[in-house]
Amino acid sequence: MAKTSLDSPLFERYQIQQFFDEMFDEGGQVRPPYLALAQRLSLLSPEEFARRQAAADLSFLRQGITFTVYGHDDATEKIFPYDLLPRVLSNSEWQEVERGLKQRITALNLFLGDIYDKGKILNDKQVPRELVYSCKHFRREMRGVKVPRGVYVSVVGSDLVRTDGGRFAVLEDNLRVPSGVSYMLTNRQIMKRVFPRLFRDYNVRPIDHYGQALLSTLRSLAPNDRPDPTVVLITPGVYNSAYFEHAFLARSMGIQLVEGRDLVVHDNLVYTKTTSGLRRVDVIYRRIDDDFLDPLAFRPDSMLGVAGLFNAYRHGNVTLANAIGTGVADDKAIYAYVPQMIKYYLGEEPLLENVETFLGWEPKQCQYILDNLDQLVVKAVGESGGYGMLIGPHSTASQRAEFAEKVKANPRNYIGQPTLKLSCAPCFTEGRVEPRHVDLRPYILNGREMTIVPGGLSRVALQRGSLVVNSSQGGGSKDTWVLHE
Amino acid sequence: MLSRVAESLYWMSRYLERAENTARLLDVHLNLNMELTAAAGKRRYEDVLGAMQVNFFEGQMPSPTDLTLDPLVPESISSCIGAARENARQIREQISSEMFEQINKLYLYIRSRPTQDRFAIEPNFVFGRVKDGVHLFAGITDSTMTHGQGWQWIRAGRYLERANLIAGLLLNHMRHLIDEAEGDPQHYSELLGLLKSCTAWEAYCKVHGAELTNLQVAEFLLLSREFPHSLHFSVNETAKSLEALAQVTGMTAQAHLESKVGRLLAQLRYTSINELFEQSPIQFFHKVRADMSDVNDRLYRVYFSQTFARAVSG
Repeated sequence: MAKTSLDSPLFERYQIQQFFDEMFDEGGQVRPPYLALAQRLSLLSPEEFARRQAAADLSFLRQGITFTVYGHDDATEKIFPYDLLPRVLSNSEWQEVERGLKQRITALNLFLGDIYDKGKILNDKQVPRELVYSCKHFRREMRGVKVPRGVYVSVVGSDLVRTDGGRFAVLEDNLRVPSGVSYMLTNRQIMKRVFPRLFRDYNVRPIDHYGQALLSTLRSLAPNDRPDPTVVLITPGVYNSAYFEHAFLARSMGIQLVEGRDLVVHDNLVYTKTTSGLRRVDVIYRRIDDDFLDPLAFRPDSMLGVAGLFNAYRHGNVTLANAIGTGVADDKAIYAYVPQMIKYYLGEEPLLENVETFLGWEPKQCQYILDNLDQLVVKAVGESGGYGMLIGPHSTASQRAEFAEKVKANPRNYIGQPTLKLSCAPCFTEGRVEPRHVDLRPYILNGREMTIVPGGLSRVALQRGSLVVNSSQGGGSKDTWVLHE
Repeated sequence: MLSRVAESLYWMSRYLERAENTARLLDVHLNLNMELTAAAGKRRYEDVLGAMQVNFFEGQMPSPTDLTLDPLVPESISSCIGAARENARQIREQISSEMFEQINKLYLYIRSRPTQDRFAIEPNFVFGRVKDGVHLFAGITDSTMTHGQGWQWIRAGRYLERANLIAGLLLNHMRHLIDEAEGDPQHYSELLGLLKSCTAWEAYCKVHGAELTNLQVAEFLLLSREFPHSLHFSVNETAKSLEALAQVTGMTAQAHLESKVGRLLAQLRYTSINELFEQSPIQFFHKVRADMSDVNDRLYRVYFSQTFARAVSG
């Protein structure tokens, strides 16, 4: 562990770890994209910095930018912890990521279109048929359903990590209902307010057009190219953990935020109930999981969905974004086959790497997982949000024994990955700056064309040494700057 | 506009108006109570609670502290602001960010520990902050929100709630005052309290001077065309917003609700106070309350609960 070259009281506790550091190279020198930031920080006292951090926190609370934590009775509305120090990426670094993401999403989308149609990739034995059909997010009902422009995934939030040597790799694809983009946008607003001069001098690529890009993506998917389509966003309601985001996005797009009870289906057409009567809906940006969309087609106990919605969808009278059944392609076991998909459909080598993955489904690999529980991260394939996982090096013997039983009982449901050496970025904590692990979640929009706003949400594991960045597990976030250069 | 959104805007506004009214009523009462005898003070407090339509839980009369700070008492200021914020949260993309921030600030204020401590020492300070907060919200609403359908729902909610309260205040206080000797200092204080509960004292003085009689006070609170906390003014604003809503939604044929408000408005416009008091004024106050609750029910039938069958037949 080395000290940094930066002579600033803010950084007096900063130790460069054995992980890739976003701001400093191995010798403790500031990396070029961070130079101006470092200069500015060396002029700030820790007290002044703390004052600005407090101002930012208050701003979040005042605006009600909060999320709901499940499983607590009190104080369930929390602000998403925000770290004032931005993460900075050079434009060349970003362009590499952007190309890789476009390639990957194109392949994943072709994969979905294929398995819900002829299943060529399965016939050619590039992806095991059993693995696809045994996935709980595979929707039989979608066989033969045509989706506008063949677009299954229109909103994606891939999780990228930077490991040894600073290369980006994809950890998860998140093809169902990825969240967090509102934090990316509000982080930026608050950053501009708290450090206006620094921001202006830095030449950061803007992200404010996300709402407009999302709207034109959704409009481009209107059924039968209906002119001037009506787009709505459906939310599970005010008690959902991401409700703030749903409202935020509806407002930034200028569309209606609806709940299941605001919609009604008649003759396979979908309507909103308004004070002027019923009004037809063309495109639904849905923030509800497949299971809850339509009590007639999926879970009958769902109170969140709309009865008859699936039939209207199957008739091509309404577009759902994302399509139903996309979860099969972000199953953590199927994830392991994405490089094969890219080769199969595009004839290209993957630009972004996968993280090495052992499948419980394959007996040999399953044995490897069981033998190395103390080294690996073991995850349930269909879970998200950091739930249902074991981090081997940080686990106790009894936790490992418990997980071994689970894996043996249902090997298809588990995968193992080496414990990643996530990169670190400087974070302000307890009055000084210290390194913390971060990942990166860029947001990809896919309609008539593919759009990615530069950057994304950098999520931070705020506990020292922790590798879990999920907001539900005590993670925070940072603004992410991609420079013009 | 979504029916659910309209309903939330309407209730957000009603709850905020209610919070402000409760703050003012309690503020006036605590001030007046210092000079009333114990029995008169108790009677007056019961009247105030009656005007606010407070339910007694197991016969227990909630204290002014409960009615301000206790989130478990449904009529408390804290509950009303909480409910208003909850409604605002469900439609926050429909109102301006400035509006939500103001309502959120007010909510954080009333639920904070320092506010509770301050209330124990200086309740009128807290009441002042609540009233200011609601006024600020009204100002922010008028200057940051499009004066379209959503704004009309907010206006309808505010004035319907206000009309209901004014009728309630007159109903509860006047039923005693009407039989008491005018000119008695106690009686004078009660009338003064009634005026102040509607922020009407100064406005009244400009018209009638400091002389207070049952008839003149009632006339001012019922029939003044220009004073914003009179029944006439509130019903008139309600009628205007309902008319605008029927136009903008194209529901003119269904919106018979205006007729109810229109009839009441005509009565307020063309009846003199003497005529009202010759008949039974108490019965009249009861009728106003019933009318307001009827208008509320009809809003649900016409605007808030849409079904396919109704849309086709309508």
